[in-house]
Amino acid sequence: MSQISHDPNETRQDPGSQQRLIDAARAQVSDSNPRADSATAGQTHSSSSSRGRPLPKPGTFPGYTITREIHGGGQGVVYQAMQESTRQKVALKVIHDGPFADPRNRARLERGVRILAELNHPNIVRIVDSGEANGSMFYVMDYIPGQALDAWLDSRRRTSQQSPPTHYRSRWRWSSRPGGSAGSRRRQQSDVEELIRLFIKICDATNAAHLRGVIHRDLKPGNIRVDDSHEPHLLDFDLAKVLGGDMVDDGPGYAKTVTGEFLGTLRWASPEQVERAPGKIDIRTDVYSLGVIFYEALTGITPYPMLGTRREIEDHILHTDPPPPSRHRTSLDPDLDAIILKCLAKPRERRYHSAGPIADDFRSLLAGAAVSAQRDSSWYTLKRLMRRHRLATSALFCVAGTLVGTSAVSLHFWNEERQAQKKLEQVTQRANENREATNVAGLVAMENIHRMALGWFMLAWQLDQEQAAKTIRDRTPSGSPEFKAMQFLLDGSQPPEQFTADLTAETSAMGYYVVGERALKQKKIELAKEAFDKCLKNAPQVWFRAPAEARLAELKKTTGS
Amino acid sequence: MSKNNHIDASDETLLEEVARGDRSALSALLGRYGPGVRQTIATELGSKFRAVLDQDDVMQVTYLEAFLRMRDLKARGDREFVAWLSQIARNNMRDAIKGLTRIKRPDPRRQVQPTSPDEQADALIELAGGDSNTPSRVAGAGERKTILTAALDKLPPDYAGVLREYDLDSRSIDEIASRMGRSKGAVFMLRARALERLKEILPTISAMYGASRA
Repeated sequence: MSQISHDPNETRQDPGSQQRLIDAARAQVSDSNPRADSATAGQTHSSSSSRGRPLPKPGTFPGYTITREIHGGGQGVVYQAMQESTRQKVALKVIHDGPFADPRNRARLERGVRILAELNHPNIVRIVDSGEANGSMFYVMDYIPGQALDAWLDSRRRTSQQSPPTHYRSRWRWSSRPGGSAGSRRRQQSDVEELIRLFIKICDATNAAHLRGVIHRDLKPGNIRVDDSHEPHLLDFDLAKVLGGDMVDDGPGYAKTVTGEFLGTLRWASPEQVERAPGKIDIRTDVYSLGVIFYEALTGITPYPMLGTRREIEDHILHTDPPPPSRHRTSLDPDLDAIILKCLAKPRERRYHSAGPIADDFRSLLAGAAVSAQRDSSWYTLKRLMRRHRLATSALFCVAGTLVGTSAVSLHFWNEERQAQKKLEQVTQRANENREATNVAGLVAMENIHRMALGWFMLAWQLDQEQAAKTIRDRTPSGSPEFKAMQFLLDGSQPPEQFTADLTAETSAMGYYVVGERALKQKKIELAKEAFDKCLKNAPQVWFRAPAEARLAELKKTTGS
Repeated sequence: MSKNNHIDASDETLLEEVARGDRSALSALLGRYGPGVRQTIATELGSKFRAVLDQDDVMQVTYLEAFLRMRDLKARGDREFVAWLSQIARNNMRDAIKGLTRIKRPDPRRQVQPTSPDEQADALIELAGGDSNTPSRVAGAGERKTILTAALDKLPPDYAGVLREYDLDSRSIDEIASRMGRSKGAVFMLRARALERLKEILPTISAMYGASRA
């Protein structure tokens, strides 16, 4: 591409310029496409032809015939083998001696193998045998055909991307139909639900190991195999890091290399792993790694930029708060955001304490129930509040001519509970987006949304849910008349005349209505009547008129005037 | 099929030729539909980024990627071809925008210990490691350097260049963009695509040096 002219004066619409780009691109790849190199194409699948590492001789592992090497490196080598007694394919892992030359560490490894062999979980690769050969320890696992999780996810994404988009063409003009169809949205939701079900199984499997004191320490998509039935299988647990005892560190031992590098892959590494703090590695380290895996699976991207130097990436892991997954995939449920972000909390104490509660929250999410990760959110509390109160408030609304509580009046704004719930979701979402509303239509929508927010605020305020009311106030733009009204209602000491002095012709009706409501709550009946009367005289828009009239009628009936 | 015949050939015929590895056929298809995809990209780019990222920057990397991935193309008609090309272009645009909006370098006082050239090479392998069990990630230090050098040699010159300059020599995006005569966004795109290609070929190269994968 350095050969390509980038003359800014060159006419960009010139078809010739596009052809020059095409020709230059083609020139770059003339000898660079690795797929054209057929000599090496087969080697990835034929370890028997690998140079430099011969397969173990027959008989090295009694009862097993090695067929090929699957994976080799730091901890040891993994072979595909055949169990001679059953003719079944198995995976046989030989552990490098090094750190396990120390008898104490060897004993820990043996114990770890025993524990995992007893685990018998459908989503953890089963250990079927172990032993020693030529002074090295080995263990034998079920061989799982299928793909690593990342490869499986890539396959799914490619399948969905290859569906033709809604493009049509004329010869020289392009356009696309906006957004997605209802069918497309249903497919997306179904896709997310399928992923969540997969996550649940992964969490349950991890939790099963945690309950036996085994942590993984290197959870990553490559250590999760997905078989042909789409079942996940966890493998490569750190069998030597069994909770309840310390690993003996003897020089360049198992826990770290000479250079201080941690064992664990950076992309899925937790802050405590990046800090090289082995004493801080515990179950919550696995929780963090699960969060990264799930984040990527849902969004297709990493929680942090991975395009910098290693130092920059580590700094992101230590200090950068990841954006919610829904920032990258807007259809995702906010509860899902909360679950993933809780896994990714920097301080360990703010994460789930194990993988079990993550699975529980995923199940709650699928069932439409509340998730524990949202417990601290006041918005969430308000939603739960509305669900709890809907029967009571509907009943109140149905009582004619009775001033029972004040929630019935606020609910006058909306007649149906389902509509009210939907409006609350909109309010929540739009409140978060209100900084981005820049066009007139958006401003108009904002105005209506703020009115609805005021309605919800008043309901919370009338039910004495002060924290929820304050949260709604805090989400409302501070310069808006609705914000000022909320502030007035919360601050019982602000004189009404001070509040109404700021009112404009457009906001006076709303302002007097709010004065009336506060006066009513403070049992200042005459002040309330006067305020509602002024509200009606200021030609309020429809949405204030009806409740103001209702209030005035009730008060006159109650006081006989 | 000769280049002249491509001019009049149907899309279906050209796609069949592409499936057989005919780069001229792909050139013809790119010439037909590239401008349209370019226009779509221009629309989607938005005014905010149009000042720093030219649609031709995006198409430049897109065309290169199209040639590299021609064997992945399974299109049977023009719609599917356009969909495939548009997806590549959008991925490139996304990577350029991500690069242009990424967080500024953190306060040096908060950074972890400095990295050596060996660690830079390790970091590049790690970034491009793809499947997390790729043997290149767990090979010995000497092996890793050899593997990486061999892999970079297999990449298109501009891909290898940006990885060498940014990841191994720690040059800034500004310096690289200036040397290449490209925009910063184009360099980010090149690097993103280069990492993807490196990820794909590392296992193949690793196998040549004695490691293998599942």
